Amino acid sequence: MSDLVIDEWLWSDLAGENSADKQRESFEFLEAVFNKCDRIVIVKASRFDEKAMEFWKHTDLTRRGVAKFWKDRFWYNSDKSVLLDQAQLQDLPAQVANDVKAGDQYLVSAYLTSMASVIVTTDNPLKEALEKHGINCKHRKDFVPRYVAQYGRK
Amino acid sequence: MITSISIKNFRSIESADVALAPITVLYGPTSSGKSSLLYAALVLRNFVLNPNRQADGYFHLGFMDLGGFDACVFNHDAARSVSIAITHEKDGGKAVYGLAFSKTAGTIQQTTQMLTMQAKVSIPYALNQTFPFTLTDGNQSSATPVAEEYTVNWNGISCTVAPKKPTAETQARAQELAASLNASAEIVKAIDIAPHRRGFFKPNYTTAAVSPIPTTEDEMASIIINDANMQGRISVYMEEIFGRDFRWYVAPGTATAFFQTTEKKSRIPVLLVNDGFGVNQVTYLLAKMHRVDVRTILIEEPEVHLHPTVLRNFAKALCAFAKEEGKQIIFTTHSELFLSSILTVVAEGNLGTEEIKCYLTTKEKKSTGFNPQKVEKTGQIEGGLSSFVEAEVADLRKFLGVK
Repeated sequence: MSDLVIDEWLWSDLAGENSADKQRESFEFLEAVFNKCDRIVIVKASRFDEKAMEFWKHTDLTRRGVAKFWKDRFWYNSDKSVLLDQAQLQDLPAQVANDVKAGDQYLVSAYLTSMASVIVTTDNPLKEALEKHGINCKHRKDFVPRYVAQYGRK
Repeated sequence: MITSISIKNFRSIESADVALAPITVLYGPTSSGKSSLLYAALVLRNFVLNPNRQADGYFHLGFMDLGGFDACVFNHDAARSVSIAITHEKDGGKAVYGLAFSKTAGTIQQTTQMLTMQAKVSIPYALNQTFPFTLTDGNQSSATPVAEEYTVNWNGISCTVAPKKPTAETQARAQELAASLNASAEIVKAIDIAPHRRGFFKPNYTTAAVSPIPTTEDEMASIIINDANMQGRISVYMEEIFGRDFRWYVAPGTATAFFQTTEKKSRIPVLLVNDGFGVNQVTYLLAKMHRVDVRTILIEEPEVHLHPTVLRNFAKALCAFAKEEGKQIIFTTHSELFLSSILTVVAEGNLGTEEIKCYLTTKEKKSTGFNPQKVEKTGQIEGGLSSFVEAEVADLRKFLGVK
């Protein structure tokens, strides 16, 4: 079982903002995570969590459907997500903190606190900064298609 | 509090042992067998209240007649015995009371820390026999071993205990023993249900006779009218849940009570029957919950007719009620929101993880299963709320073009 830290691209993709293909693929990714014994790390009231909340409030039926799917299969599911309060997040080493933008630091804290296996992002500078410090960070375009191909619905 | 219920061969339940908590929530697909667990407890209660009737009569629940033994025995196999037993905590130990019965005969089992009792009876059973018992513990270190010092008569439901050498001390001890041995039957008697069919459909009521298993609106109205504390208690919860109070008043010179609610915002009193039906059914439900002689309340789908905002208030109020009143509540629900509202109470630290048990009820072929889902301090639940979203996932896949 692996714990995954996902950047906010998930919600942009699921909203269809980055193409219909990415929207479909990101949903398949969630289904694959659900089917595999992996978990998603969620920091309560983080930007990631707030973007999920926006889906819950949206009037678009697809987004509401995704929100329900997310809530029922991940958010409330102790088998499928690691829920962290902001207060639980461990401080970043000073050198890492210097190299990571303030708005992204919660992702790294979540990774370290939950001892996750990977951070999946679309942010190249973040990826480079983290790799420099030995933190396993993958780009969405590399990680997601491979994950879906390996663990998605056949 | 009832800590578990064991059921065999009742409706779709071939065999189940279900641990219970102050709050127990049963959810799952329609017709998966959730209500059967509740009804099983009522069948046992019917036996305890009046064993002297045909076996078919045990399945008449007052608000509903399940159709008798043949209709309710698992797989309609009359060769099987229906078996229902409850376990509860007594004096730091476990006590079990149960009945296994066919159409014509039954076996009553009662086990406490002190005694194991078993009675084979014919059905109908007129409570006209006493049965031997075996001492399993007997408080051996005591100066007064039960079997030597007391005569215990047990008719399958209740006990009398008399000291062989009556003194003030032994008589007091006999009363304690009798209370302890009768506790199981009393716990069974203290079960009540708020069934699907609930509410008040008339503007006014006069007091009527109340049966041991009150279900009609007239009986429930009479309970409200006759209990000096009931109106106030219901009203406090109504204000928390709906922002309106509940009162009844009697027109001078009459014996007719009118039920009314007053919304705090508008300040306009209305007859309860003219208020929303959600308000109406919750009033009935609160009356059931507040009955002084009820310790375990079974509620079928508390969410009916309630708006999501109100439902959330209601879920919180029910949890608070269970804690404050020390009563046990067992729900069936199809509402994801109701369940998630209760999980939020856990996440807020207002309900301990040991105070709630959740079961996903499923049916495999003919048989119902109660699958426990552990609740975490975070309010998360093992397996999530997946059963509530299954049907929509197929639609989502279509919307998103997932093959």
